[in-house]
Amino acid sequence: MTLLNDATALRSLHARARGWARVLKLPFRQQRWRGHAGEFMGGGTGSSLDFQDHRIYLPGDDPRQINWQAYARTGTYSMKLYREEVRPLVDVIFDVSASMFAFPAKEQRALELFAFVVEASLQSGATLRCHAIAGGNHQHLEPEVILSGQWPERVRELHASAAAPALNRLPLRSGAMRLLISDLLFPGEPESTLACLSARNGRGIVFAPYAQDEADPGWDGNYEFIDPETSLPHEHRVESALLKRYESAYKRHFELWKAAALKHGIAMARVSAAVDFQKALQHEGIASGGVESA
Amino acid sequence: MSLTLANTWGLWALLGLPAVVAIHFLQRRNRRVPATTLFLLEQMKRESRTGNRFERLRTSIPFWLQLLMVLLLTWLLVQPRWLKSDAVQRIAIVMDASASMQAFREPAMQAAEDVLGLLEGPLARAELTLLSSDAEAPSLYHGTQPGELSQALTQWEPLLGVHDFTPALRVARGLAGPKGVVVLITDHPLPASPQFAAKVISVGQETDNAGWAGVTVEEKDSQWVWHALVKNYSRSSQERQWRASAGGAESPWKPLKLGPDETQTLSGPFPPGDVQELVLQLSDDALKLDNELPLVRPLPKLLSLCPLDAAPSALAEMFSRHAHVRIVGVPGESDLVAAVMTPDFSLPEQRHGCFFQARADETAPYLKGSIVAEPHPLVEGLNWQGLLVRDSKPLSRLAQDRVLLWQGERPLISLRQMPAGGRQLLCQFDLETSNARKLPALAVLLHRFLETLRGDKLAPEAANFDVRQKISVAHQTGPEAAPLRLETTEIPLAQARLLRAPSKPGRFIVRQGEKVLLTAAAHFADTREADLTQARPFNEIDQIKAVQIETLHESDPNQRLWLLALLFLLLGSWWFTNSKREAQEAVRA
Repeated sequence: MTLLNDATALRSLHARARGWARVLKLPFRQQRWRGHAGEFMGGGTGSSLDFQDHRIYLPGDDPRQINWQAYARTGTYSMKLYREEVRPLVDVIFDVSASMFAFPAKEQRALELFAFVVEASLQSGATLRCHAIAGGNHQHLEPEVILSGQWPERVRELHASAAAPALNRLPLRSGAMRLLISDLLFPGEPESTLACLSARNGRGIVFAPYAQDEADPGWDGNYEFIDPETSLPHEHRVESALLKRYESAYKRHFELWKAAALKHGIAMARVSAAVDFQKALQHEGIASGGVESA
Repeated sequence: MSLTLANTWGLWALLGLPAVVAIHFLQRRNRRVPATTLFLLEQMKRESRTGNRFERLRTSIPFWLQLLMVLLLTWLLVQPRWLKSDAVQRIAIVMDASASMQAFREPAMQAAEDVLGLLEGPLARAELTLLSSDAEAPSLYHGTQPGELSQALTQWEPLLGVHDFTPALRVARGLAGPKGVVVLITDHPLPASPQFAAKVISVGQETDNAGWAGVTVEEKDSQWVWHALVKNYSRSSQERQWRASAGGAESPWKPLKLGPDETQTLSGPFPPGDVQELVLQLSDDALKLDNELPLVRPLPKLLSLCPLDAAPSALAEMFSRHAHVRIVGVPGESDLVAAVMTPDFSLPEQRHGCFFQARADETAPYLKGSIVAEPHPLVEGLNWQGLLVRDSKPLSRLAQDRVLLWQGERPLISLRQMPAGGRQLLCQFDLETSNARKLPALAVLLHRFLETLRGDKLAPEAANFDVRQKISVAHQTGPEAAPLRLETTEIPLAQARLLRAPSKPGRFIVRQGEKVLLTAAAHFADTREADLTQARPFNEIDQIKAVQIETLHESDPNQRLWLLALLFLLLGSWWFTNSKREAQEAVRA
């Protein structure tokens, strides 16, 4: 039984993810948010304790905000403005294409990342909205379903696809933090995908789990490669020269993604499946700005 | 330099080559692995050819070391040997001359060819000898050319009976030398290894055979009748046909059914008239020698006996009862005389004769004392103890007398060889007062005496013999006498005593000059040779080859070096394999 099919294991994973979320946070502080009242600094004035500015009272202003001490000194109505505190919007986009679960370690890491972002978002009081996506198909996942570990049953209805996830079809919210968990192993330019993450004042973060079997497969000889998306075999003979070319192509693929992410102001963290989750996330996530220390 | 493999079974080790290749290939056969980056591989499709079940060979040190190990191991196992520069191949082939080999002539010749096939070709000098196991026969071939030996094989004619191979093997070993190969080709395995380190190849197979096993011809009512034995030697019933042919006429084939190991007697008269020869034929089978039985109408020599005047009629009657003895009245026409020695009788000097004493005094006492026979062919095995002889005056004894029978100190029967040539049997007792006529011993003695005279008589004779049977033919002697001739073979008189019937069945004539002395037929009736049930295959050609290789070749002097190299290769392969694995694990770690 794989982890994906074990609801109990998924719930247990969330329990651990809550611990990780106390150590590592999503970078909500790096941006001003809009939304319902919450704990994070909003873009406008609000009722928080953080002083923002003084201005002349204008009709229509809340009389409770009048600075009476200043009126006593000057006789002029003036207003004392405080920062607005809001609940950030978080849109989690989880790539559930079969390649994400092709290797047990990678499957583990992908599910850990998903659990982490969900738990980190919830602990931050963010308004969470999750989407599972596979190529052009997507499925909305309610937080309750995710926390109950029942979400894999919902995503099974999505047809397997080797195509790039069609983020433009998702109802991403304006000004939301958009977290994409994907291995990015699909053909095509990264621009179209990343543009969706940063559109409409979105704050994009990409977590890309990867397995050692992909980065350094150590292929040597004849292979019957099985495409996880289609389950079709592909025969190849790999020799050392070809392996080197493959490794450089793999490296170049992610360099293109990183360059495109930088261009769009998107944090991109490749999280290795070979080491402990917390260490891997600290190593890649903090450096890229995908997470921050609590 | 000719290379020979002492152990060709070692070549099986070469199977290790494909095994090593297969192991190296199969461990790299298509492995099914999930690949999430196929789109990257597809981009490099032109560089990545579709996988084959077998990859092309790639440089891998353990792989090459293991191949080298297999080759070295094969080299050591096959035990390579090189022909010595001074090698001389000496092979002496002894062909069994037993008549039973007639049934296996072709396989035997093929076996000889197989032995010649062991020769190393023109690289080594060969000394080849082909002998028959008949020690008296000359060697069939001695030379250096296998082809000539093969031709000489056609002259090999096995016709002997059971005989000892040792003399022929001794000769063969002498010719082949101590390191040469001596091969005996026969039709049955020997109970023990033959002497002189000879190797045996038996080409025999248990074979059914039936044939003539003997014949007697007797005169019955003035007609000659033959009685022939026909025997089935096999363990199963056999059906044959037989017929007789004589004077150009042949009787129709008659069926003959013989049970396992059964012997039947067939009889028949000689055809009337002047037909002197008869051939009994049996339908063909594996051994043809005993399928034909030639016969001649016997013509024994007739002895003429003349009783001299004083001889009683009983004496003439006694001799007339012997076969082929004719009583004549003229002493000059007779071959021998018979007489009673009266006091005034003088023995004829030149004539053969048989003489008895004159009637003794009936009152004289019987001789006393033990009767003792001298060791002589005429009296051998005869019982004289019942002889009662009255005492009488014995003949004076001459130096040329040979006493055959004594009673006490008195000679009873003597054989006198007269200087003029007469051979005379002197019985010093009378027939009337003694009981000699009642004794079988006297009849046998007279028969033997007559037969010796008959044998010495110069007269034509016809008789039947077994093949190679010893023949005694009376012939003229003297410096001017012509040699004997057996068909076309001339036999010096000095060797006349060695005369034997031919080895092959058939009619033959012995002449002296133009005079025919003997007309005869020889037939094969050796039941031991005709019995082919004991023939079995047996082959020591592998040992012959081993001896040949051992003698003519020298082994690889670097064998220990190769063994050491094999050990190093083994260690090297192990080291390279392990180091590669560790390196891969390190990279993965």
